[in-house]
Amino acid sequence: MSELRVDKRLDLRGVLCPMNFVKTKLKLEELEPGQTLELVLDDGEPMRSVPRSIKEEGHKVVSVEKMDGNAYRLVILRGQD
Amino acid sequence: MTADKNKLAFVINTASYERVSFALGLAAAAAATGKDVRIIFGHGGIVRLKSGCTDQLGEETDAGVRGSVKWGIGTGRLPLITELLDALKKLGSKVYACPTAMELHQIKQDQLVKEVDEVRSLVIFVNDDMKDASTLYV
Repeated sequence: MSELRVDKRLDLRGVLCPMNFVKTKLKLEELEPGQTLELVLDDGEPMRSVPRSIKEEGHKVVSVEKMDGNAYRLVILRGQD
Repeated sequence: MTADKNKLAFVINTASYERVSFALGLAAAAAATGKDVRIIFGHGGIVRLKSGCTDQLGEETDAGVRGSVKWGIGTGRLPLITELLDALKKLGSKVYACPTAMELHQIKQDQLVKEVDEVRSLVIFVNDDMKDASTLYV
């Protein structure tokens, strides 16, 4: 599988609700539609709520990868406005 | 009158850290999901908009939560109020200071934090911001 191009990165380990989603939203707003954001989230509540909220905003989670420790690396494709 | 489900007005009338933080967190979550958010700080909350006082624990913060608030700020688990106000501004929300509350606390306009959009009377807030909005009083 080819490596996904990443345009911006955001590490949200240790950041709780709602700031994990708020910071994701603000970072996605820096991107153009079609660009990608690499997001690192803690397992648990962040992984349950942030990807769901991102999808509801019209963006797409294109990959999810378990990292060492209790975290996940996601790549988000920014949707249209 | 039916409320517009995409419009929220917050009346913050406390300076207790966890109440202001939770209310602004709720407002930021709403703004991040596309809601039109308007916030006014009244007599009990206006000191949070005074430069230098925004992120202080303050004697207004309830004794029962002071320890957890300190821990939360120290570990980065609880955002600073300044951080929440900054996020709200970036998300397009409006933040107002009540002029009567400012007078009662003897706070001048040039003492307000930069995130305040304007000093707005309650009458204008009621007519322009609460109109059609769901209002949350904190």
